[in-house]
Amino acid sequence: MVGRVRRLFVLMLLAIATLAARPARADALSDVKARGTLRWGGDLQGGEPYVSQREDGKLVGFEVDIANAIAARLGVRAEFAQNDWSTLVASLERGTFDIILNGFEITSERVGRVLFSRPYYVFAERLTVRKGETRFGASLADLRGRRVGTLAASLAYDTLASAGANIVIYEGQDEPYDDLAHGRTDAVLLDDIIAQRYATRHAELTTAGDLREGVYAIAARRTDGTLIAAIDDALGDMIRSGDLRAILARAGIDDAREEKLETFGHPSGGSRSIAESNGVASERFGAHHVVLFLQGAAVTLVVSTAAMLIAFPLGLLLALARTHGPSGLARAATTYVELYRGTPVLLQLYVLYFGLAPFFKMGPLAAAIVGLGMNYAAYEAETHRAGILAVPVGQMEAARALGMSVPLALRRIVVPQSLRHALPNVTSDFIALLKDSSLVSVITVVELTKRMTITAVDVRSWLLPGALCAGLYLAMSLPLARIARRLENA
Amino acid sequence: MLEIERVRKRRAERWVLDGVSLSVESGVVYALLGESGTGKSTLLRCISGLERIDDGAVRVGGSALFERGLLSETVRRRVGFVFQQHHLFAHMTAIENVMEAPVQVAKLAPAAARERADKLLLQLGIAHRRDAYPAELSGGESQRVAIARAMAMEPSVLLLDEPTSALDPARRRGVTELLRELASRGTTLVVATHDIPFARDVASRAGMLEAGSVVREGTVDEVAG
Repeated sequence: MVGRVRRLFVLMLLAIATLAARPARADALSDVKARGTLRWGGDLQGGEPYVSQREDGKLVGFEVDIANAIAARLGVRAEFAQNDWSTLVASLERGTFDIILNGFEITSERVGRVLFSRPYYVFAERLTVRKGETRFGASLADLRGRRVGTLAASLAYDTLASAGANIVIYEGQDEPYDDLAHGRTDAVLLDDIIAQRYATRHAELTTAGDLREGVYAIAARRTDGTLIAAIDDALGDMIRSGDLRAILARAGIDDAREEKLETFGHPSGGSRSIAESNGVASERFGAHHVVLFLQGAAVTLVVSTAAMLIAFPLGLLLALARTHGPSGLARAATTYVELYRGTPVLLQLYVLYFGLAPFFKMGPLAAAIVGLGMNYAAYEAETHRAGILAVPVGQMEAARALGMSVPLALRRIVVPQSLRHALPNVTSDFIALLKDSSLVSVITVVELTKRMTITAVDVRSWLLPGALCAGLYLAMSLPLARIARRLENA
Repeated sequence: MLEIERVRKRRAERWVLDGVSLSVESGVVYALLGESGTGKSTLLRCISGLERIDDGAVRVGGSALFERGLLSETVRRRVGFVFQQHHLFAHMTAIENVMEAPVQVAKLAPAAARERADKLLLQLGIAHRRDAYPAELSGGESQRVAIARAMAMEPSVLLLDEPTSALDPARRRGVTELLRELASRGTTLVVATHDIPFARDVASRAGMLEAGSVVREGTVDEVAG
């Protein structure tokens, strides 16, 4: 057993190392020119006004215009590459695209990992609260211990972390304001562009103030100095000619702060000093990360266990309804199983947490448990059904012939035997649930995998966080696999 | 006393039972004879309430088993059934099998049920196997536990489907004595079998089933001859 764990670890480390060590090409700029396209990475989920897709499929947004303007100056065509925002750097490094251009803030952590161009936008970290909020004011010191929503791996996240706030992490830009309006958080700290678009949709929200400034810039791989230099030239030209301000004005996000774009000097030195002025120290993977990982693992274990405690009995009831219930109930149970198995659990979590929020408010942890529990109930129902059908019909007939009612016969005779058939599979399902529980990060629950992705960005490496994350999952699932095997042989 | 009147049972457009009538007095062992597929098992299943009848009546001690098509649970409890395959509850020991219905259905206190079960297992000569699981029992042992399980509900009618199918000659003799003993204490026994020598030993009356109805009644020799 120990030998197998060790082998798995070695394999995993090798896989990660291979990915991390993939070499970048000699000269990205000549590649771009030879190819005739500048591939830029971003996430459509970021939406307006950055980059989003119109109904006719056309991409729109001020970053689309900036990408096109830069590409034109390089004599090539801009080509968008969709990528999850939280993994933009990893995808850049493995060569999926040439640059990141997607509200990517300059921070000192990132300066160590990528090359930044000169900034193309100056934004403010805007604090949004519910109208009539009197418990705290618009200062970082006031946010200590408050529940504040923001996006992962953003400058606002770092700001909140250093202020000691209780951070709630979202993956979309509307959800933080939605939850604030519903009273699930105390405030939201996000870039002013985002606040302008999304906070204003909620009449009950108001701006408390702007806490600090930051800048967006284009990022390239550390080895692609010629490319970033060419982009700097293009941006410099756009700033001097007024083209950049015109693009920002068209998007309705031009303001007095953008005057500063001209004064931000030389790119590399300049961006480093901007990063340092942002005051976010880069981190090393250390003991406190291990503690956070253990907490993440605890969340994973709690969510999975509680969800299974819902799924197991609910699945049994659904299975009994299908095998022994009256036809109406059996149909309803079948519909439930097909509905929950046939739609993504991610969608179910969204509907439960965000979609139903106007009608009843559930905390993220409760929603995660209920959402996963109801989803897995559909799978457990099938496992239980197979178990029930594996009990010979004669057992039920013998019970009936002794005068037992159907419910009594099910409870005393059929189910105790069906559980023996179902239990090994239930254990396997639980292992799958452990891993599927990582999906609940979409509703702001920080479990093990989310902790890993956050940390990987913080410490600029996937290697240690990835290995520790995988190790913790294995530590939870291997004993279960062993139990499953023992149950099968029982 | 068991009375069956013009019972009809249709299955897939075919009359499996087509007007079966017979009556068995208390203390009598009645052999239901006939080839496979003549409806013996179906008739037993109808008498035990496992299947509805489409027409006619089944009465136990004068009370109808089906009232307007609905099964009477109280009447059904007076009928015990020993299946050909025994169908012992696989997750329970022998004594737990015997105690289950008295505790769960007749609401007997567990101690009283245990006492009754112990007594039955002793009478049937398998007290030493009381804590064995069904998978550990031989065919003969498992049949005795099945009989004990049915008798624990103190039925006035006991139905047995092919009780000699899994037994060697010595065991058959044992079953014969056992069934006669049960009958002598007032239980009505109906034994479905195609084992004529066994029927001759155990039953004082017999009926021959052919194509869903009783074509001859009398002693086993009269009916089978």
